[in-house]
Amino acid sequence: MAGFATAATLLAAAFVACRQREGSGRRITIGVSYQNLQNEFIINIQDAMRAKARDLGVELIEADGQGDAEAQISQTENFIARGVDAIILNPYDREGSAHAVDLAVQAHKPIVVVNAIVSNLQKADAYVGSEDAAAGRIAATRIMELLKGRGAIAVIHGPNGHSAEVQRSDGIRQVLARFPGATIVVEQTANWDRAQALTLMENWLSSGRRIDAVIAQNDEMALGAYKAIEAAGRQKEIIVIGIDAIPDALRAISEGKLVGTVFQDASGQGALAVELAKRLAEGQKVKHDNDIPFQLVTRENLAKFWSPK
Amino acid sequence: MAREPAKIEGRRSAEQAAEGWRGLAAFLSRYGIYCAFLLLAGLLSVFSPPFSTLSNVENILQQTSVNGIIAVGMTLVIISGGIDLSAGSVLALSAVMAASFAHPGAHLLVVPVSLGVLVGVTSGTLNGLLIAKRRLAPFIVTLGMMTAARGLALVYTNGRPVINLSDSYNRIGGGSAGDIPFAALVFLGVVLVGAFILHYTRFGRHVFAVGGNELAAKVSGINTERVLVGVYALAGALSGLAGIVLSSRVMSGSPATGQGYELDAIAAVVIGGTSLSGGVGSIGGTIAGVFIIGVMNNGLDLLNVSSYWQQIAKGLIIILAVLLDRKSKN
Repeated sequence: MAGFATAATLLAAAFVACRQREGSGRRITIGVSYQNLQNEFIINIQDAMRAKARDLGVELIEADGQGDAEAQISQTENFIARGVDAIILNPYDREGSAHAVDLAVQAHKPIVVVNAIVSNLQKADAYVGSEDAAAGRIAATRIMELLKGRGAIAVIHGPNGHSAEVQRSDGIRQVLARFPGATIVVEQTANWDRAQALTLMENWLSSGRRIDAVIAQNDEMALGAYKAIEAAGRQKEIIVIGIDAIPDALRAISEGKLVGTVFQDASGQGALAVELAKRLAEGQKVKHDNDIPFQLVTRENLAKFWSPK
Repeated sequence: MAREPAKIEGRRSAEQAAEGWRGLAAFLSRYGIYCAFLLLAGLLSVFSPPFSTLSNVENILQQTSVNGIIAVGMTLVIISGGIDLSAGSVLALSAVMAASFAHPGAHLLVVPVSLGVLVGVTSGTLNGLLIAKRRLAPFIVTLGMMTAARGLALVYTNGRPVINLSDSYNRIGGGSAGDIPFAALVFLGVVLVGAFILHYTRFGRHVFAVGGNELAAKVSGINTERVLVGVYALAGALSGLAGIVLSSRVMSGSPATGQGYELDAIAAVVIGGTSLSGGVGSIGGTIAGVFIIGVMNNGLDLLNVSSYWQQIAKGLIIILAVLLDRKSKN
């Protein structure tokens, strides 16, 4: 019984493998490993990739890293084993996901890294992204403008070690270092989660510390922090900024709640990644560094990014 | 000759001392958890004066409600000899479905609220049926439900949070009656109902019996299948209710929310003295466990202790609680 099942499984696998090799002869297949499809921003990248793939007539084989670097490495191994023509890696962990690039290089598969960096970025064929440090700098600069260069700052971090968290922290510190009148009085992680940030902000407010501004490394956390500030009635005293420009945050800016956010062009990143992957699969050379700049979003330029529904 | 009275007196005072220690040990094993809580709260008030302000107490009530609601259901499940790993995912599924019916001007409040609880009851009942009728291990069944419910929540929302919820919905988890958050009132209600069911009804006694020795309970005429289905259905309903409270507090129903919440609930239950092998436990102990964890998180945040150390502290408390529980049994 077990023997029969094993044989049947092997036959089925062989059948599927044959079908795929036929497939990659006709259409270019690209394996994509997303860092975490439970993140709204990454879903925006996915939408853009799918649309571009449809336009260009390439086939995407998608895998969700689910916030686990090791899973992304396994997924890359699977893509290589399946014989994809190119790989797109959206890394979760700057160090942990780096091995995937090594694997692709060893297997002579072109690999494009998108949205977040890895420690061995130079080994990849191309990088499409926005420099997260710039996002941190833009957010911190906006706060310094509004506070006129002095004040007590609270920073809410993403998950420790996450590529974006590391870089955004760097960017924030770079800017604040230039203003001796500004100090970071508290900082802690809320793991990109709105509820965690809400609780954290509540407790910070309770502690009686003076806080003039909150820089949250993403919008979900900014919205959570704002909710706590509003509940305590201190929204006139404390300003909040986030990063990502998700719809909820844009609405909050229109209502004067958040003082700004930083727009990351998910569509631009996703689309360009697919385009570069296709060209690499066809044997063309592409530029290694493809930076898509972040943009500050405030009430003034909100209309460019959002309209009330 | 003159020695003997002194020896007898010596022995008597030694016996008295031993009895004194035994009394203390008995007191501690029964009320130790509450003493620990008072000690923790006392220490935090000293090291961080803002800890004992009214607004901070309100915060603690607010912050412990969601975990508390889940923990009440988890208490019954664990006493019955099982476990429910699906609580966090069922919470998310209920949250997104309820939130999708809570847009301004869309439906009466009763629609999203009852839908959320219904989703929870359904998931829980499914767990209970598989465990009771198909004789599958609770760990495996609820593990499967944990994964499936999360997937369903993601499919339902296409991965994006449900936003733009009505003010009246948001008030459920975010509003207060004077100084007392509504969320805490819901928690209180759940505690009272849970305690009543567990400690004052026949059903509750049956839950203990099934947890203590399922075969003996069945042989003595208890419909163990109905008890198990009931317990998991109730736990599911409470996870659903917790989902409504959470999504209304943060004003969004996110399919990614609630991850790990079942573990926090299990921690609270275990710290409160309920044994993972079933048959023993109390709602009161669970509440103490919920507040110990909540007070610790709150206090350590006030002291600006990194969340990584907070996690270590939580783990140590769980281990300590289990050790003390083991000691008191011997």
